[in-house]
Amino acid sequence: MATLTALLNAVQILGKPSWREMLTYVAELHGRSTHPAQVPFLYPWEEIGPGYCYGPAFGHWDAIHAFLDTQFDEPEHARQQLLNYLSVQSEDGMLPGAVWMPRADDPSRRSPRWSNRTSHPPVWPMAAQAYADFAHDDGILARVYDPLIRQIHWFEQHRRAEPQGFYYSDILTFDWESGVDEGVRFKDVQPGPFACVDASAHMYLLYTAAEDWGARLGTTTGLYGAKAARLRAFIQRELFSEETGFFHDSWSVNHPDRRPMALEGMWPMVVGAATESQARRVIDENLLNPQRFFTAHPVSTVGVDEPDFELRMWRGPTWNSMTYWAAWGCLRYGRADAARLLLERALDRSAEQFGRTGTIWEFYHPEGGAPELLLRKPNTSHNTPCRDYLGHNPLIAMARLWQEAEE
Amino acid sequence: MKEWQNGRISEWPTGRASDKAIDGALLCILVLYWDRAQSVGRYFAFSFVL
Repeated sequence: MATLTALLNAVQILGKPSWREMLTYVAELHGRSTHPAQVPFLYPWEEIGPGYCYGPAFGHWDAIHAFLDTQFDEPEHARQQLLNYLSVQSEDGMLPGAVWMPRADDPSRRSPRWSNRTSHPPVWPMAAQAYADFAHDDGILARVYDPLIRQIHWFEQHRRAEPQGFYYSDILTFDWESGVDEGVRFKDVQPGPFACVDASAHMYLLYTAAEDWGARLGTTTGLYGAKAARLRAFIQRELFSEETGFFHDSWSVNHPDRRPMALEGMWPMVVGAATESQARRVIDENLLNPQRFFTAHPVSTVGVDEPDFELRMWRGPTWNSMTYWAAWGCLRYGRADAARLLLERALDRSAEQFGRTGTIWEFYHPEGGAPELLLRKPNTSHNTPCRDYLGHNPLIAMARLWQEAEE
Repeated sequence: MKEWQNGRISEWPTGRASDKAIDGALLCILVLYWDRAQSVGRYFAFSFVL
């Protein structure tokens, strides 16, 4: 356990007064989640939340969501988490999903373990770049540039879709590599490695980061810029539906009968791969549409007017991390108004639930109801959202973004 | 994410040698050792008879 004093001080003047108690608790929770260095981590490591039902665990995109909260006020802590996160990358460039840390009460977990087959969404370059920009520290980019290039190679070797784009293994093996466990897009097994809208957008992010960081570090060849341009053209041309004003997977985009309105379709907008007009439609016709994702606690993970909508994990409930990324995308396309709307509503509802239950929930009721009523994974023994869960609750970063969007 | 499922390790490819693999390796060594121990035992028994 650590005390993150600068973070605790920072939240005392952040956002609306009605959020303060919750944000103070979140700052304390970051400290409570931080453990002394142990194998395989060189630095103290922050678990994804002490209430996680399969914890203690580190990594996945959860670690990056936690990083978003601490990167500005506790830069050394955040930097160490980023280096811990990249330290388990294998030689071939694969970054594993969660790292399962030892548990005294479980003999099957005597040593740290992680998958060497299943990766996770590589959203980390967005966070790393924001950190480097804020801290004026290109040194960190120099340190993480090689892992970035190796990760690109791994995705190119192992997750290239036919005929173009990239995929997550979920569509073939239900490994939940996409992080969207049991999501509506995966109800059917696909007959081949077809392009996933999220994986393709995330690869675009890796390519653009490689190009930008290469330029900053003086090592660019233009290779990744060209790859990014080709992938962007594919996403804009093949994955956007004029009917829904939203992005979809390659196998469903032209099939209205099997084209779910799943929130993952926002990713091309979040990473900057959408055209201006596509982004406008994603925001106005979808993220701000009460019939789709603009719920009392935005944004729902499935459109509320969808037959597939359920009060179950990624099939409807709201994950604050996704609200953060949605707002990030809105800001990227100059829509501070939309970002503020999404963030303020989500923070208000989260604070209400904190006032009622005294905890931070893994995911939330999209209409502002009790998280205890939501289902998680009905075929397991953990079928309600976890409490004290940081990995999908960058609430401090959300409050900061809300504040910045006003300025 | 694919979650830890009540220690059902067989579903889990791991980044490190799993405990089961280590246990298996130890068992193999024991079996080999036992085989050799028996051979040595038979040799001495045969020598004794002679």
